Amino acid sequence: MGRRSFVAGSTLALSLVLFHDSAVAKDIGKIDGAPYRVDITETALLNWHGDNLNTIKRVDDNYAEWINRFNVLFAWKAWQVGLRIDSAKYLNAPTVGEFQDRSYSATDRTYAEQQLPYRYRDTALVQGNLKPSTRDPSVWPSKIWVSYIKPKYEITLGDAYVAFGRGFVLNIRKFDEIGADTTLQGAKVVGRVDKFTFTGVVGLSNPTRVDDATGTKLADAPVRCDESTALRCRDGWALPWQTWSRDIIGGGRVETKVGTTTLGVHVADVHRRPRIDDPEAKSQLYTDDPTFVRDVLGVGANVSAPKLSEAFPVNLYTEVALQRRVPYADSADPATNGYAAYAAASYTAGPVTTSLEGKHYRSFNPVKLNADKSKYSAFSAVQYTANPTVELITQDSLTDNSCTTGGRARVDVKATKGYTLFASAAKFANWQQQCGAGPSLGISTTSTDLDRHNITDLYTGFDVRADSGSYLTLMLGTRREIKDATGDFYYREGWLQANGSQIVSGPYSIEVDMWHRNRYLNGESWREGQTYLSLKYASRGAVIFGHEYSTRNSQINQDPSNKGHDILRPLRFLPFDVDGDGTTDVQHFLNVGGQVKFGDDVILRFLFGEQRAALKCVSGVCRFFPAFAGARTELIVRY
Amino acid sequence: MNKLFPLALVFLAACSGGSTSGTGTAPKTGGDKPAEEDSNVTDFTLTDVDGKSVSLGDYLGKQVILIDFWATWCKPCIAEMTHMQKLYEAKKDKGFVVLAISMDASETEAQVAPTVKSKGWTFPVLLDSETRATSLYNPRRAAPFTIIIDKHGKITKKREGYNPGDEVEIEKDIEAAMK
Repeated sequence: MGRRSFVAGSTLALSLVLFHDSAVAKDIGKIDGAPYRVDITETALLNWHGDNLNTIKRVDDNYAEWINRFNVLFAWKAWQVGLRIDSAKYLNAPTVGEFQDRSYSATDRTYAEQQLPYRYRDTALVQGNLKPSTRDPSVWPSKIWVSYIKPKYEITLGDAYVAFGRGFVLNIRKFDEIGADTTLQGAKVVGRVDKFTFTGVVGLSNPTRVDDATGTKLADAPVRCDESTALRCRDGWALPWQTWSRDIIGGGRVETKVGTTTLGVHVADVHRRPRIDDPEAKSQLYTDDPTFVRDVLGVGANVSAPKLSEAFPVNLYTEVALQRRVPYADSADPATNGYAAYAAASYTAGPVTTSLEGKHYRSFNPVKLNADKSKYSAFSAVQYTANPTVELITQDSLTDNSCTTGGRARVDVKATKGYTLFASAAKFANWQQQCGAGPSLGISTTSTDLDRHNITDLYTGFDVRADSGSYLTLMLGTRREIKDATGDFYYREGWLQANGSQIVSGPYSIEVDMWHRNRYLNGESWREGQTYLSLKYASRGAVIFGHEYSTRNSQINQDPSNKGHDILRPLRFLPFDVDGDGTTDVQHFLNVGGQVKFGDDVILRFLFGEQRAALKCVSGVCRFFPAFAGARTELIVRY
Repeated sequence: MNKLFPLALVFLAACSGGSTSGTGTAPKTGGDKPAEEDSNVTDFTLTDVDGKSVSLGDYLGKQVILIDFWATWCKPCIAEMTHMQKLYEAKKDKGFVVLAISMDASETEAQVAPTVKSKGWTFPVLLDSETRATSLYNPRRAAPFTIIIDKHGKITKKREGYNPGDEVEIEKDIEAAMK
C-alpha cells in the first residue's frame, strides 16, 4: 500500500520496457542439442481512479493501482512450462479509519465497512483498520503448468483450460472482455488411440484473484473473527470467515471421428466443498443460486458434422446435456435436474449463406463460482459452464438463459465482391429460472403457471469493403420482450451500430465506432450510447476520442453539485441538466485515449477521462462495470 | 499452488528420459513430421472448419506460415483477414500459407463456418475453442494477433492488433521471410 513500493513497482515495469532489448531478449538457444523457445509477455496496468460521479465517495475514488501480469512460457522438445506471476499494488487507497470522519455520509460509511475488507489484495482488516497482509501478498504465482505433449498423448500438471462441446457441461477458460480468467488447477490428460480421443481432467478451480477493471480482490486469506469489525464478527467464534470456496472439478470426454464428423460424449462434476467456518451453519456456503449445492453433475453428447454430404453440404452441430444438482446431506432440499438441447446449422449456396441456431433449455443452470456475491460482485462473471445463448455476443438484456426455448435464423447475401447484406430474426420464450425441475427429469410446473416472456429480436444491416481497405458496417435492430400473462412490455429496445474506416492517405486512416440505444426495462426508459473516433497511423498507433452518454436515472448521480474531480472537470462542458430543473437529465462521459507501438514488441495504451457504467456480456456471461473517471494505461511488452 | 510445484518437478524428472528417446535430439514437432533443424516452434494439431485435422507441422519447414488469431466478434480481425486473403491468393503458389485460428468459444463457434464461407476465405481456418494453440502462442488472447514463421521454422515476427495500412508492413515481413 505504501507509496515507496508502488513507485518501485512502477519503476520496475518502466525498466522492463526501456531495457527489454538488451536485458532479456534472446535468440534461439539449444539445450542438449535441441532448440528451446522462451516467450515472455508482460502486461502492466497503471490506473488512477478519480471521482466517477456516482453517489459513493472515496471508497472507489481518488486512488491509484498497479496491476501486473507477467507470463513466461518455456518450450523445449515435447515440454512446455508456463508461469504467470500476478501483482497488485495500490496508492492512496481508502482506509477504514478515515470513514470515522463524520463528513462522509452514512451511505459511504456503511459501504466502506462492508466493502473495504474485501477490496484490496494486499490488505487485511486488523482491529478495525486495513493493514498489510502477508496472507494475500501483493505478488503471487497465479498460474503454473508443465505439459508433456506427444502425438499420441498429452499430460498437463498445473493450470489448464478445458471445454467440452459447446460448454454445457464444462467450460473453464478466459473471458478477457469481462475480466474472467479461470483455470482448472490439477491434471489434464489427453490420449489418442486410433480414431478415439480421450480427455480427463481433475483439479481445483483457480479464478484470477484481482479483477482488472475494478482492482478488487478475491481474498485467499479468510477473514478471521478477530480481524473483522464488530458488526461482522460472531462473538465467540475464533474461526475463519469463509467468503468463497475453490470447487473440486473432475470430468472426462471421449470423441471419435467418422470421416469428418466428430461424435463425442462428456461428463463432469463440480463438487462444492462444505463450509468450514461455522459449525452450526449448514454445509453450503450460499443459497442464492440453484447450483450452490454439494455436487453439480453434467452429462452431454454432441455431433459435429462440418459437411453432412457432398450433395448436401450443410454444416451441422448438435448437443444434448443433462444436469443433476445434489444437495448436502444436511439439506432438506431434494436433488433437482435440468436438461438442454442445442443445434446449429449453416449452408452456403452461391452468394447466400444461411445459418440457423436453436435452443431448448429447462432448468439447466450455469455453474457459478462458489463465492459471496455481496463481497465479490466483480467476480460474478466467473462460472464453470456456459449455455450458448443463440443471441448476439454483446446481448445484455438477457435476464436468464437456463429456462428458455427459441431459435435464430440469419441470412448473409454477398451482393457483389464488396457488398454484403444480412438480416437476422429470432424468437424466444423465457421463464427466467422459474421452471424449477423436480426430482425426476420432468419439469415440476407447467408453462401456463409461470411468468412466461415472449421475445422477438430482429436486426439487419450491410457491410461494404473497398479494395483500399476502407469499410463500413451498419446494423440496426429491435428487441421486444412481452409478458405473456398481461401483454405488457417487460423490455424493448431499438439500436443502431456503425463501424467504419476510411483510408485518408498512405498509412493514415479515420475510424468511427458508434452504438446508440433507446431502451425500456420494466417501467424505466432511457437512452445510452457511445461514439469513438480514432485517428490512426498504420503500425505506429492511434489517437482516440470518445463520447458516452446515459439518461438512465438509476445509474446517474442526480445531484448537479457533484462535479467530480478537478482535473476531469474541463471535460464536462456538455450540460447534464438539459431542462434546467436542477437535476441531472443526462450524463456525458468524455475521454481521450490512444495506442502507441514501439516496434512490434511494445504497445502502450492509455485513456484519460470518463466512461459510463455498463453491463457487459460475452458468451452469455455478464458483469456490471462501474463508471470510470481517471486515467488508465496498459503496457504490453513481449520478449 | 505450492504443493503442486514439487509434483511438477517430480513429473519432469520422471519423464525426461522418455522425452529424449521419444523425440530425439532434433526438434521434432508434436505431430508426426519433423521440423527444420533449428526450428524453435512447437507443433499443434487442430480441426479446421471442414472437419479435417491440420497440424502446424504439415507446413513447418516447407512454407512461410502466417498464423492469424482472430474471432468472429473482432471487427479489426475481419478487416485484416480481407487483406490476408489477398496475400494468400497472391503468394500461395510461392510457398506461403495463412493458418487462421479462430478463438471463438462455445457461444460464437457456430458463426465461424458461415463467416468463413460468406467472406470467401480459402486458407485453412482452424478451431481452437479449447485454447490449445492460443495458450501456446497468444496467451494474452489478443485479437488479431499474427505470427510469421519463415521457411526454416523460425518465428520472425509477432504483431498485435490491426490498423488499416498494417497490411503493407505485414506483406514486407512475409516477403522478408520468404527470402
